Amino acid sequence: MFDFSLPSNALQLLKPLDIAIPFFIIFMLIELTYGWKTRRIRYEGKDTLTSLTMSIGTTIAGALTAGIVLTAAYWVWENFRIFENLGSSIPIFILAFVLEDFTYYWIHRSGHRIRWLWAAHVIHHSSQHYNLSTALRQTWTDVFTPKFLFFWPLFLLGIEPAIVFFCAGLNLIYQFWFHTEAIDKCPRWFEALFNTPSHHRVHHAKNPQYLDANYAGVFIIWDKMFGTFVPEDKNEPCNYGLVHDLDTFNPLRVATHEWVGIVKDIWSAKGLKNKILFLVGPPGWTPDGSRMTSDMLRASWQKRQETAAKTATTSAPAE
Amino acid sequence: MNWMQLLFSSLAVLLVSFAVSRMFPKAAGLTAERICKNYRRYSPDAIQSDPIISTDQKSALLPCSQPNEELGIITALGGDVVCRTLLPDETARWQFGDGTITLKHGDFTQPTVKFILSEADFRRATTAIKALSPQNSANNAGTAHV
Repeated sequence: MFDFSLPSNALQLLKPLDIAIPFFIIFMLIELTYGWKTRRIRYEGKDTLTSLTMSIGTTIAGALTAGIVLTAAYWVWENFRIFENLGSSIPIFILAFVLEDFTYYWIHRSGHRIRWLWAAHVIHHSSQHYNLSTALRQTWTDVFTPKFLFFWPLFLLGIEPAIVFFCAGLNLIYQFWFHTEAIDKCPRWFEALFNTPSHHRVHHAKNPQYLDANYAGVFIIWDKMFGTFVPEDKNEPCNYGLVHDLDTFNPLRVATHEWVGIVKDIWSAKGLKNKILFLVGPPGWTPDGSRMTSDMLRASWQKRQETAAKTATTSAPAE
Repeated sequence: MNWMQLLFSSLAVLLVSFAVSRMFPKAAGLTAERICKNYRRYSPDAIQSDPIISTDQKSALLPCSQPNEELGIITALGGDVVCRTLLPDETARWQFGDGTITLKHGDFTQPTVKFILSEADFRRATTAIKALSPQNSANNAGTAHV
């Protein structure tokens, strides 16, 4: 039978996020003051309240579901791991950190390409602002997605779940600082290796040419390896939010809107294939193409660019 | 879960949000320029007419033509702008009152939009709605495919 308890010898590690919370607040106040003085950063009271309320909800949802997630993780690790004694040495922590970040890349990429996962992740993108409070606008409904399965290969490899979740916490802390417009570009070597404010601004932008890009958590190299890297273009300022922005600050509606959309679509869809595709197809997919996926939006933008270029060429005066 | 941490976090949330609302005043309401600029980003191919702006500057209608007949619904969310498009085959419920028009449609985060209009704008709005949905022409409170 499935036993809902952790092994007695499970590693006890600090929860990095718990320690980081006061620092999140301090850095937000610094950014706020900087934005107030320079007017270079946009904040909005109700938007901030929604983002921060979402973060409180995330903490509560995480606490309610942590037991199930941890127990399942330890069950996989204890029963199916390939390498028995990887232990908890510093090289194992470093390996776990890199592999967890690689895993995060694929979770995040799937979170944008599969509507089931997007239903949870969309919350993080639902603000039209890009500031440190946006970093804390997180989902409440991860537990209803198959996200946890992405970590299982690490447990199967033999890395103890406590180490993986510790690294996941560090990864999330790293991701806090680059949700800002206060920092333009970092040194070139840093921009080449790591995720930065510039790279992540692109990720949060709804401009067609920026859609579905820069999924990295810590190392931007994953995007460069798998063809999803798009650099920030100074001539194309980022326009933040969703293609169809939400018209509410109500945290409950923010947290559940995409789930409601999925249920409505599945309910009214004809045929099993369409019902399944409304869940696992890309956001915006419909059987008749009446809505736009990000690929369609990008193709449409490209077509407009080509038409504009042709028009400019034909209307240019002859020399 | 640490309840004390949760309590202090909640207090911090309220204080920071209050500080933000005092330090960053809301942008002005909807203007024709903001409406057209935002809707151009949202529906780049639409050919826009002049927007019909609610007197409280919180909402606007933007009749558009080509490649499709469409009606832009633009609302102000705090200082931000939210755009939607209504096409002829979409179900929406329009209620025409005394200088007000209320739109109810199946949008979970935007169930109702109210337009408070001057007499001239009310006439223009009614014409635009009628153009998109002839069957709703003289309806005072009906469901129409708009």
